[in-house]
Parts: sequence; C-alpha cells; structure tokens
Amino acid sequence: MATVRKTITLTDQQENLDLATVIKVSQAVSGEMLLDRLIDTLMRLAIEHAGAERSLLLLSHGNELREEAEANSRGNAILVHRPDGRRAPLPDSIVQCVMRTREIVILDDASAHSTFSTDPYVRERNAKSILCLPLANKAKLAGVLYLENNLTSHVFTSSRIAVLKLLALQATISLENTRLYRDLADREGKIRRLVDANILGICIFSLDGAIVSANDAFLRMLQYSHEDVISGRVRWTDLTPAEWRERDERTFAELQSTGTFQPYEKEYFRKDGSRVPVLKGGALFKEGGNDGVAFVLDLTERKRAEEAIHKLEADFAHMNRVSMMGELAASLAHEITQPIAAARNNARAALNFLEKKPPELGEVREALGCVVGDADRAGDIVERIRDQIKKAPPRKDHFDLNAAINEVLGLARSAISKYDVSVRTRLADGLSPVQADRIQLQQVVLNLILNAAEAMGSVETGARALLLSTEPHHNGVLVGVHDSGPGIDAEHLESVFDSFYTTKPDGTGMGLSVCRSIIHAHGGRLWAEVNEPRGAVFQFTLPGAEERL
Amino acid sequence: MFILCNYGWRYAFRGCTLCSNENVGAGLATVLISIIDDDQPFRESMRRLMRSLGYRVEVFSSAADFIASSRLGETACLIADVQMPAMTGVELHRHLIQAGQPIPTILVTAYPTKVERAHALNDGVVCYLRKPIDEQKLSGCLRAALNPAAFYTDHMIQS
Repeated sequence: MATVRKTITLTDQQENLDLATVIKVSQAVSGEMLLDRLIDTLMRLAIEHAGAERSLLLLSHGNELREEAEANSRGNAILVHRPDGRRAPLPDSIVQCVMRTREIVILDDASAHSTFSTDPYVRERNAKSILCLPLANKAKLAGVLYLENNLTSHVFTSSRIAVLKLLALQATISLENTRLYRDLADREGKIRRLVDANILGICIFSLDGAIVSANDAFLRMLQYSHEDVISGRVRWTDLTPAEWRERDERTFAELQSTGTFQPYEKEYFRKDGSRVPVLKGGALFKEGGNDGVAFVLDLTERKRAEEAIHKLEADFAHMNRVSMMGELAASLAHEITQPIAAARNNARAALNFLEKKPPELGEVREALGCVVGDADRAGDIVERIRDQIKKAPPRKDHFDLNAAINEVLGLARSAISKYDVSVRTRLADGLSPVQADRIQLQQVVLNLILNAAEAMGSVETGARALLLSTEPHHNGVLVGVHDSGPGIDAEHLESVFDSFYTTKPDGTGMGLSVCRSIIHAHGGRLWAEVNEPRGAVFQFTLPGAEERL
Repeated sequence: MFILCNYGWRYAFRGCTLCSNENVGAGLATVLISIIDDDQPFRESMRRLMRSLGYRVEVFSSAADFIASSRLGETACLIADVQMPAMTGVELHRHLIQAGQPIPTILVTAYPTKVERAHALNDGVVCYLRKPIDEQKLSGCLRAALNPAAFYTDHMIQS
C-alpha cells in the first residue's frame, strides 16, 4: 500500500543514524562558501546518502523557483550539471505542495495510488521513490531539493531521511551564507575594481599613523613594497615632510570632527627620501572610528605640465617682447637712415661750397659741424637698439612722452598704411615729464596701435580712424589709443588682458598681457573701454615723475 | 628765353602766354625749391644742400604748413618726404593736383616700396627717391622737374 509520509521525526530510530556520516555531511556542506561548490557537494551527498538516482535542486529567486542543478547517478559516477535552458522534468504537483506547505513529501511508491499518481510526470516515468524537501530558514523558502529513484520503491528509509533533513538544514544555512558572501564579494568587487585599477593610490590607514594596506599604485608612487606595509614599517606620519605637519594636523582635526577630509595638496617622502607632490582625500569607515580609506594622486605629471606652461608663458612673453622689440629694432634701424641721409646731404653741401669760386668756407664749416651732429644722432639710435637686444633692465629716464609717441607713429606708419587707417593725434601741451623706460613705453604704444590697425581691418575703408591722445591725469599722464573697429564686448574688456587671449587664428595672445605688466611695473594702469559710436579705447596712466611709487 | 611763372618755366618771347606774368626769370637763383619734411635735422641738411647747388629754398615741417604758406604759388619744384603724420607726401601731391595747383614733385622716403613707387609715378610724381639721397639722381630729377615742356604736357593731359 502506498503511503504518504509527510513527516519523520528523528526519534523514530528504526535504523541507526550513522553519526560519522552526519558529521561528514554537515561539515562538507557548511565548509563551502562558494555557491557553486556548495551546490555540487549538496547534490552529490544527496544522491550518495539517500540512495537516489536523480536529484534536482531548485532555488528561490524572488517568488519563483528556478532549477539550479541536477545530478544523476550513472553507474559509479554522479554527474552534476547545471540547467541547459530546457526545463527539467519534474512532478510539478509535488514541488508545488512542498512550496506551499513547507513540509517534506515522501512517496515510497508514487505510481501506486497516491495523491500524486495523477501527476503527468509520475505517470509518464512510472515514478517509484520520491522525496522532496524544502530548504527553509525560518519563514523564507530558500529552495527545494527533489530526489527520486524510479527503479526501486521504498528507497528512502528513515535514517536516510534523517540525514537528508540535516543536510537540508545545513544547506539552507550555507546557501544563505554563500549568497551573503557573494553579495559582499560583489560589492567589494565593485569598489575593488577602483583599487585594482591602480589609477589612484589607495590605502587603508588608522588614526594612530599606520598604513594598514595599500594598492600597487600607492606603493609604486612611494617606492615601498607590500612587505614594507605588512610589516608595519610604513606610517603616514613618517611620510610627511616637516613643513606639511601643520596642514596634516588640520586634516586630522577635520577627520575627527566630520569623518572625512577634503582633497588637498601636499608632499610625501618616497622611500629613498625624494619628494613627490600629491593630492589626497579620504574618509573614516565610520564616524568616530579609527580606520579609514584614503586616495593619493601623484601630481608629479601635473606639476611638470604646470611648470612647462609657465615656462612656455615666459618664453612667449620673451618671444613677444623680442618680436615686438624686433619690430621696434627694425623700425629703429630704419630710423637711422634719417641721420645718415642728413649727414650725406650736409657733407655733399660742404663739398659743393668748397667748389665755389671762391669757396664759401663759413658754409663748409657749418655743414661739417652738422655732419658731426648727425653722426652722433645715429650713434644714439644704435645704442638704443643695442639696449633692446640686450634686454636691458628698464632705464627710467625723464622724457617727452609726446615726442616718443610721435616716434612710434612714425615707426608704425607702414603697418598703418597697410590697413589704410587714418591717424589723428591729440597730444596735450605742457604734460609733466614721465619717468619711465622710453623703449618699453614705445613698445606698449606700438602694440596698441598695431592691434587697433588690425582690428579695423574688418571695417570698411574710409571708416578706419585711429586717434592717439595724451592728457594730464592727476600728477601724471593719460594716454589713449582710440579705434573705430568692431570694438570689444563689455564682458571681455578685462579678459582681453589675459595671457593667451587671442582672436587671431595664429595669435599667441601675449601682447596685451605683457603691455599690462609693463604699465603696472611703471606704477600705472592699462584698461580697455568701449568707444563711441563704435570701436575700442585702450588707455593707460603713468604716474608723474615726482610721485613716489 | 625762359621765364618762371605759376606754370613753371615757359619759353616765351613776350611774357607767359598762359598767364599775365611778365617777369622774366633771371637764373637759377630765383628758382624756389620747397622742401617738406617733419625731421628737422634732415630738413635743414636739405636746405643746405639746395643752397650749395644754387637754388633758392624754403623749408616746411608739414604739408599743412606749406599749403597755408604764400610760397605755394612760387614753388618751382617740391621735394617732400613721404612718411609724415597728418598728410603724407603722396597725399599732398594728389591734393595739389585736385586743387588745380600741380607742382612738379620729387618724393623722398626712408621706406621705399615698389607699390608706392608705382602709384606715385603713375600719379605724375617726377621722381621717387630713397634716403640717403644720391645727389646725382637728385640733380637729374631737379632738371626733369624744372623742364616745363614735359611737365606741362603731362599735367595738361591729366587735368
């Protein structure tokens, strides 16, 4: 007669429980932290010790059960395999029953008139011994273990069932553990990814100064080895140079009060004593705790790049100066033709006067005197060119600003005529003399004029007007370069003076920032305004010679 | 004989056929050369040179000064610098033509360019010279400038 034994109690000891088996099974299952191995072990043990032919493990995923593994005995071997996509054949009614009731179902002979003999699977397979038990932990159903032996009935004896129940209990707990373990590994793996990517140095530290662990990037940055860290030789208190101690103390305080410290720059000592600039930030694992994690970014590259940019800026400034100076020098070289031409005329005139009958010696004398003067003037110009090329420190002389500006205008003539610009000057009389480096000031004015001329290139000819003005300003002077070009947007009036600001496709953008430096060095101000009705006005002030800077 | 009048040297038996000036030029010493240059030492050296060549010479520091002066009508030849603030030598030459008072002009410049030279000669400028000035060339230019036939014909056609 077929009976459905729903429960079996362990006190029903018709056969002795093999304690050794129990311990072995229990240990085997509880020892597995990896889910795959756990399942494998579970399936094998279930077949081995239960006398089953086939076992199936179904695990809960949300509200449904999914096949996790199937094991079959084949001769002496037990083959465990994972579902291959096809639904494994099962007596659904039995599985459902176990799911609902959370009770074990044991059928000694399923085919023989039991509640489940109408199940299609049972009928089809002519199933004999079936055992299906829940893997339940308190209220949660972790899964269902299904065992069958369709060759023999009454296979599942009490002692076997007892072992299985123990196995099931252990398995449930282990399954939970492995899942927790896997979640943890997952989460840790996600963060671990960052640590192992070694794009940043990452270390675990404790407040007492120890570095507990560190990733490769950290170690490489500071030239320490894993052994150094493990042995406790690496302490963040030792890594910091003396001048950064105070900053570190602030960091410490920040950590203790807020639990984090914001990124800041400092330096560390490498193992060999050399220094490395770093950016670091970090957090304690919990507020008020002792341990935390920190990231350390090696700034060597960035510092190098910054330095390269500074050098480039300085080079550009120098180049610009040189090219501006070069322009000025070239113009001054042209300027030399004047005294030479004058000297020639005078010498020629002296010769002519000598040829007269009688020779006009007075004229000759006068003419030759002028030749000397012309030669001197030429000499002065050569001196000024030499000064420029030598990058001489600013020579502050008193000089006539209007004359200097007129000179610049002369020099800029060719550029101005190239752009077809009409030039007016409004140079006030009686300006107080300025004490400044004449060449540098001329550089500034020349640059402003050239900028203005170029800017007006985009405006129709006939409407290109440049005005140079000088007027008294407090104790000094105010110089203005006014153009009728497209002008500058109000929001850019300041930024045009930034290094690298340029609207020219091939411009280096250093001109105006250098001009501003020059004017500032003289104690003045250089700024831009909007011109009416259109265009821009660049103005600079120079303090009077009497003013103390 | 040649007389000097507002239209330059004219060959005339009885005064100038174009104007009513009956004065007869008595030689080089009455020929007025006007020099315009904003560089004072150079200007003075030109004055000296012209005098040593026997010309009467007046100097001006800007085109405006020259235009405003009473010498404009008298000037037989103008020697003007190109690069000057306000009005350049080229602009002055054009201005005089447009005002109906063309004067034979020699332009001198410290920054000669081919383009400017071509434009100037096209405008009827007698010579376009580089500074420092070669006085042989200058003498040749002065002779050409003071040759009324060539000058007169050119400018009559133009105006």
